[in-house]
Amino acid sequence: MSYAARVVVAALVGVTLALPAAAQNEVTERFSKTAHLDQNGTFDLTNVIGDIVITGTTGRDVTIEAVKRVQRPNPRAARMLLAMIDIQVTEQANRVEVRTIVPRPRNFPGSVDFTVMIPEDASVIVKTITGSIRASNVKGELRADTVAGNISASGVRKLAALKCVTGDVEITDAGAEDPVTASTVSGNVIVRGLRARAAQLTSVSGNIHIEDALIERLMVKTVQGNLDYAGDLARSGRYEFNSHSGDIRLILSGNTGFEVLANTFSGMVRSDFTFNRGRAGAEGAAAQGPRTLRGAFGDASAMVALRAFSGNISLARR
Amino acid sequence: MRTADLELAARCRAGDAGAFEELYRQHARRLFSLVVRMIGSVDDAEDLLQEVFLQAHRKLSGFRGDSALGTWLYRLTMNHCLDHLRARQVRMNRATESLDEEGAEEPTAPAPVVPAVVSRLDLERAIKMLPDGARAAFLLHDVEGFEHREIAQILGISEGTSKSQVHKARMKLRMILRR
Amino acid sequence: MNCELHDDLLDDYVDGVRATDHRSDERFAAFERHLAGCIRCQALVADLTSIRVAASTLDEHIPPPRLWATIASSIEEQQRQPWWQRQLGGAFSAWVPTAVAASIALLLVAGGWNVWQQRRVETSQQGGAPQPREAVPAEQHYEQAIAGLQELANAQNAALDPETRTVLTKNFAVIDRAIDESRAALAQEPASTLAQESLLDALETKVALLQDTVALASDTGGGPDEAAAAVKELNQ
Repeated sequence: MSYAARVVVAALVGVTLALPAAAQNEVTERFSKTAHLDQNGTFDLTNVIGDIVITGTTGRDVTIEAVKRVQRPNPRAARMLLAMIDIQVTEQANRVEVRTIVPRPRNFPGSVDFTVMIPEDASVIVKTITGSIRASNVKGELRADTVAGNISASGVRKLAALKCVTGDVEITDAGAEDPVTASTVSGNVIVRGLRARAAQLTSVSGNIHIEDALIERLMVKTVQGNLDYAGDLARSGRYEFNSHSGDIRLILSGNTGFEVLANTFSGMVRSDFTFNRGRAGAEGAAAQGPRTLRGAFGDASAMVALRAFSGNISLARR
Repeated sequence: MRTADLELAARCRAGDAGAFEELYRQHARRLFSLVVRMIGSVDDAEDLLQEVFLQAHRKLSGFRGDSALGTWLYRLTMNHCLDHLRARQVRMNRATESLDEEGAEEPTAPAPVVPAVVSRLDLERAIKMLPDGARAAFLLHDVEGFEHREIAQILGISEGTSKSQVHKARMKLRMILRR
Repeated sequence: MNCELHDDLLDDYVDGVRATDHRSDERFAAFERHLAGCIRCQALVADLTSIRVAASTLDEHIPPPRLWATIASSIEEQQRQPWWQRQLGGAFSAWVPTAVAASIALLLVAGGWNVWQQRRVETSQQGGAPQPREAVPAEQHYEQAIAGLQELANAQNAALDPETRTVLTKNFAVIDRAIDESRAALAQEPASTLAQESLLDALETKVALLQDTVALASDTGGGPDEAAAAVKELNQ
């Protein structure tokens, strides 16, 4: 091999080797604790950085497994930082509280990943700054809040509020008694199976997709993103879809009658449905144009308001 | 019914926070809807209803059971609404809505001119165009379902005036909603 | 036609009163006889009945949960004041509309949970008849709130981590674009309720995001300060 080639090879090898060498030394420490929670108790976890998985199960135990993790070039520094991560568990009969305490949380180069099993009837409040949250089989109330990370809730019976700034919110097979809010700023909201009296789903720059939901009062709003709804409408339901620069698409099945008011400032409105306008007759044509649609279908029991600024609106029938 | 009211009022006066919240929960929704439609703004409605309940809390010591607690609360609310509207009129220098719409042309068409199924959205908009007094009576009677006797108590007018205000409102709405 | 003679009974009829009721009023029976043969009155009854029925099925506007929270905390505050101060009533708001101020208070105190905001039915109206640009008072309302919140947010800007700040800045730009587009549309078509509503919507979204930003900044507080120096050192 020529000298030049050897240099090249050495350089290449050096590059690949350099990465691990400059890479962090990772130190980890496991944390484990079991607590007891009475019936219908509350599990309340606040983390700083790290992913959280919460699963409801039988029994009255709360089993908390956590992995503290720090990566530094200097292994001694890493170990010292690791020692600064404190996981505090406070146990009362009907409440278990977990707090991750670190100095300078905004700048702490470490994380804690939690895997928790709770009694399935417990209510859950979970908060973290960076990290994703996944909750399943929670029959009590669920509130989850993260700044940067995805939230996924499945098999939750009393969904209350899911919120993140950067990340997706995903709801699968859930129910709610009180009004539900699911919101993100930069991310999508995806709902597959939700029964609720009232729900508000919002994003700023992201899409919102809803299928197989039965919600009596639904408000869906995004600024830059598409809104999709596929499924039935509840009788006497109230639906409001609002997107500034995205499309709104409804694919309706079932026979629920509804009154619709659809408007877009510079987009187009399309519909599969034939609307009746009441005794006054065919003045319907005037109230209908490329950018506006107003009419009643069937017994007009539900009310649907669709508003877009520069997006298109379409109403399809399945 | 009245003894329950007096009891609730007494509990509120005694500082029972739960009792006052109960009062709020019983009436807030309907009152809020009423206020939104009376003054035409949801944000203002929030502020107004807040003031109403704060005033109600202060004034509960004066509740004697002369009327139902609900009626008392509604009266307080409507007074606030009408004050708000009067103040707004003054601010906007708008000519006072004339109540002389009476006798202004009604369609003499022999057929109904309003659609059988009136769009709720159209109706909400039309209600905004009613003169204040007529709107008040209409909302209380046709939307909230109060009897003229109760409306008279709430608005401090006679039963006859309540009836004529509702009539006036309906006739005006008919004109507005006509296709 | 003797329609005018019966006009006062017409509303009763619309309300569901019938001669067969306990009413032994001969006038009412006479009215019903008149109605049977008068198409003008029949049309009127039909119209007013449609209106009445529609009115009775109007949607409820649901007060946001924060309303009770505001009332409750105001009452608590009132009760802490001496009785003579209580009589004066004192409003909460200074530079921020009450509703927004309450939201901020809630967010800062309760730790940033988003509060359910029930949307208004009325703002989804769009009519053929052009509405005067009455959005102005509401618009000023929002602008005021935005100005105040922006000040707060700027003061706490350093409290957010850079990635979050970047995402928020980007999204504020998205919302501002929506506001600008709505304003441009409104300038073109001042009577367009859709443009008005788009504007108010976008303004409301901006207020909500500012509230969240302020809450976020106050949330991400620090831990014990002694260790902070150590962390800084170890971070080198």
